Amino acid sequence: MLPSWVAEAAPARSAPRRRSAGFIQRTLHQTARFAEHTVFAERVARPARPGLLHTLDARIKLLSILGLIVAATFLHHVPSLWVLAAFIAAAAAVSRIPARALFHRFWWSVPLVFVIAALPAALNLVTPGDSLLTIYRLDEAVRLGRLQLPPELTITRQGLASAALVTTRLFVGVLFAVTLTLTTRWDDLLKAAYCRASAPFVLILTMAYRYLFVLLRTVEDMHLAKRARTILPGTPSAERRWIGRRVGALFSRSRHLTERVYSAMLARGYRGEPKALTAFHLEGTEAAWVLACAAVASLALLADRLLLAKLPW
Amino acid sequence: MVAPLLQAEAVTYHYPDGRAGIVEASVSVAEGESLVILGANASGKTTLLQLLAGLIFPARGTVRAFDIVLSEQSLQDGDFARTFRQRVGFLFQDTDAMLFSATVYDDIAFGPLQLDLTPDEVRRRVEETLSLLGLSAIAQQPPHQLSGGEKKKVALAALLAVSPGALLLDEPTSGLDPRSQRWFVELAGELRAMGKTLVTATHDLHVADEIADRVIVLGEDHRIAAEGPPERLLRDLDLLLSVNLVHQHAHIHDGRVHVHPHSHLHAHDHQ
Repeated sequence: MLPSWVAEAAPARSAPRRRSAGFIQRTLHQTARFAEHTVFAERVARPARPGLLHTLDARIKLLSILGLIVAATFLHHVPSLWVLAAFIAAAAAVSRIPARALFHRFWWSVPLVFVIAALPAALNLVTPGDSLLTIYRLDEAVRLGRLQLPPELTITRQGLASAALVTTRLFVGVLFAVTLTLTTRWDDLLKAAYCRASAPFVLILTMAYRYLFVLLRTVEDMHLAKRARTILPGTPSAERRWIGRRVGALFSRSRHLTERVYSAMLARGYRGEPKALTAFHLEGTEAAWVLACAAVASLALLADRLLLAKLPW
Repeated sequence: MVAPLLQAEAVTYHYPDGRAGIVEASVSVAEGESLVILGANASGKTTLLQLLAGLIFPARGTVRAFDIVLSEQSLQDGDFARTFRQRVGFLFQDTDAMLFSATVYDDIAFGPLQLDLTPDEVRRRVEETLSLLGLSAIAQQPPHQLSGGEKKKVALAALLAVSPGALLLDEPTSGLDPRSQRWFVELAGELRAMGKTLVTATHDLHVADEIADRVIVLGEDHRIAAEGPPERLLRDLDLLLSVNLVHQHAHIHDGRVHVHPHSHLHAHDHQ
């Protein structure tokens, strides 16, 4: 027999006031967004109509892009770096990768790195040279506690060129890496790195990626279950306690899941030696791609050494 | 006399926290038969299956496979372990635990790879299994993008790709819609016709009725309550009521309260 209070209706309330999302909600929202982005990236990496970069063998693609990144580190002029950037951007365009997907992930990081890491290199303190912009000039030495300010702080032409080079190199490197991940699924990328020595790490990373989604869904379910039963918002300390308990519960669940996964592996004959089905195919497209990469990298290196080095800047 | 394929003799298992998993259970599985282990939630069905699969080991009693005692020591022997895992497959109820690879294709390939087959042979098996279960369209999908029914089918495909002679199936129809349940019953029929041994743990009386040659009923005290042919046990309402597989159902007919055990397998007369 159900108690009588089960039949009592909840009192009607006025319209809810707008509240800003709490820390937990924001975190979970970001977690859900991460999962969405990852699923989107997987879809882009294996589209219904694959382009040039999608169809290339993952191992060839990984090695060729690593080669291009190494070539970029040997370039000392911004225009030669742009040659490499233009090549990979053209390959991405031919492969029908949306420009938004390509640049969306890192467009904000380039100015940030420029300001935080590269800009100090433009100052006369780090790179002396011809002054372009004077930030301040003091007639006499000024001390701020133990710190002695330099009499003059300027941005130099040589320093600015050095900052531009560092930033462009970073941009090109990230562009290569993003192109690789947008055209290669995570599991293919891991298989590309598979060899006898790396096999245990590849297995662990593959499974970690797989179960990240299971745990993300658990976190989301926990939060939704709490929201569905929350009548009054909790105090910050109560929220922190809730998070602490859920972290503990999640840890316990993940430990049990680990045991079940290991049992499932044993049941299917796993005897401690990871094995994977890898296919390494070098066909005409792969050969043409490798040749194109080598030609572009050689062209950029030659231009950097022979032509650009002779320019006055 | 031919030794049973799998045999548990008076096995008892307790979980690390002291709860009983199964108590004094003796089970024998003959080659080619379809045995159904029926029981309510937490009665010990999964524990008994895991003992038969050599995934956990009893505190008391012995489990034998092909007349060899199944223990941690015997499964350390690489040759025996490989033969045993090749001949006895296990379908987990929790498909998320069973599908641990990055894609459906890799998951199905995992078992055959452990058998040291050549890559071409592994690919051939995977592709044939995908085609057999109608999974080719989702072969390159990661498991987290699959529905519950698809995950169950992929888990079964992963099991079939190893081609075990005996399949231990833990709640194979849980979470499946009626059409997928029917699909499973038909698949079980085909496997039986091929001479495969099936040991299915379930609380679904319909599934038991359709696929069982023999039924073992577990009680809520984690002991075997009854064993026999499905025609007899599945119609023994007092037994099913006592082990919580059917419930008392009350309703009103012609102004009088009418109480009877309720199960969709049984017709009853209101006169």
